[in-house]
Amino acid sequence: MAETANGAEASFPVDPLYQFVIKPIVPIEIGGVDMSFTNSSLWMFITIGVVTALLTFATRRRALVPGRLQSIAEMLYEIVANMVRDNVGSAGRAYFPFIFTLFMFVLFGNLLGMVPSSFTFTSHIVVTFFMAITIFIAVTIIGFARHGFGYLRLFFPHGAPAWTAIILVPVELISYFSRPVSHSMRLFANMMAGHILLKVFAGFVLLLGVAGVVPLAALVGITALEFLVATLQAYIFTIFACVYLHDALYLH
Amino acid sequence: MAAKPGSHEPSPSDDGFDARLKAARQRREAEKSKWKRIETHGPSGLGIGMRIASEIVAAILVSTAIGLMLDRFLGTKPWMLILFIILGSGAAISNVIRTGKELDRKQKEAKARAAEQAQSESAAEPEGQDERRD
Repeated sequence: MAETANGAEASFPVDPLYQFVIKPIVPIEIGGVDMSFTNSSLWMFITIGVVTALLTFATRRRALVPGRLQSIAEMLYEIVANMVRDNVGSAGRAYFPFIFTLFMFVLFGNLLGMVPSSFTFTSHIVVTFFMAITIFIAVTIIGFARHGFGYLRLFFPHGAPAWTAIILVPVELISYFSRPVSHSMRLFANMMAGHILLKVFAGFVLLLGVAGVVPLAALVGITALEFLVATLQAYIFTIFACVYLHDALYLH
Repeated sequence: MAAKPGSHEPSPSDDGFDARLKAARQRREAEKSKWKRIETHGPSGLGIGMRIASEIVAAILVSTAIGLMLDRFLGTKPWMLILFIILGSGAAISNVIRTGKELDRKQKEAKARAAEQAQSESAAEPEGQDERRD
């Protein structure tokens, strides 16, 4: 259990926000910018390592009848392949490697965050917003590259009278720019809320003594729910990337 | 499904195997459709609610930020903020309508797919449809 960050909150045994503290492991400063290697970066590297190891070991034998590990890898591949086919269409096949990488990174980041005393980097909005804004910029570039200035038609609904452009274009623009915000907020809020809930209930267990078995039972249920949320949010985050890609490729 | 009154009698060699096979297939289909539902729009109404709420919040957040920045650059405090909050509310509503339409479309697609599947099943075994009707 984490010790309390300051004495004022000492009455509650666990500080639920302590798990989100960024701790530099190797302090690096380049040109006045703090670029330290932190616990967040460490867990990102661990995630990449786990994903790479899993896929490398799983596909090493390449058996016709897959073993356990190979079926896991094939299942993950099929999930993403189906997602790209259903949500982006045939033109999306070129973007499969990126979508697959994104899915694996978020999924394993979420799941490794469930390991006790680990760090969940997807519970920081900086991380999710950076991923979302990367997708947003990439999708905008793809849209302009494919349609030229015709991509701007996205901001004016087909068939509306021309004078409504004064209102509709700003509204559509705001709606377009709100995409990365809602995209990143969904993942970040779900992960953060779940992890705070876990720690708050853990605090109740410590506070209540013998009666703590009641929140402990709830904690077991919430932990199971968190695993569901971790997988589901990774799926949803990826599916939205697919939906935005579809919009850029086909203009609705 | 297991009992078929009036229709053809299963021969004794069947030994209920067909019925068991059918039940197992149905169970698998139910499992599959559960996954399809999760794939299309989250596990529950809560997922849909979260999604719509985040669309509203994001649109208003972004428009407020744009309004504040324009105010700072143009020195027109507070007019750009007011204008952009109104526009942002419009964007939020259009986001919600778009999300609703998309969910509707997905639901209809899923329903059509299910109906198609049921039809192809009943085409293979005509007595299945009568049972489904009542």
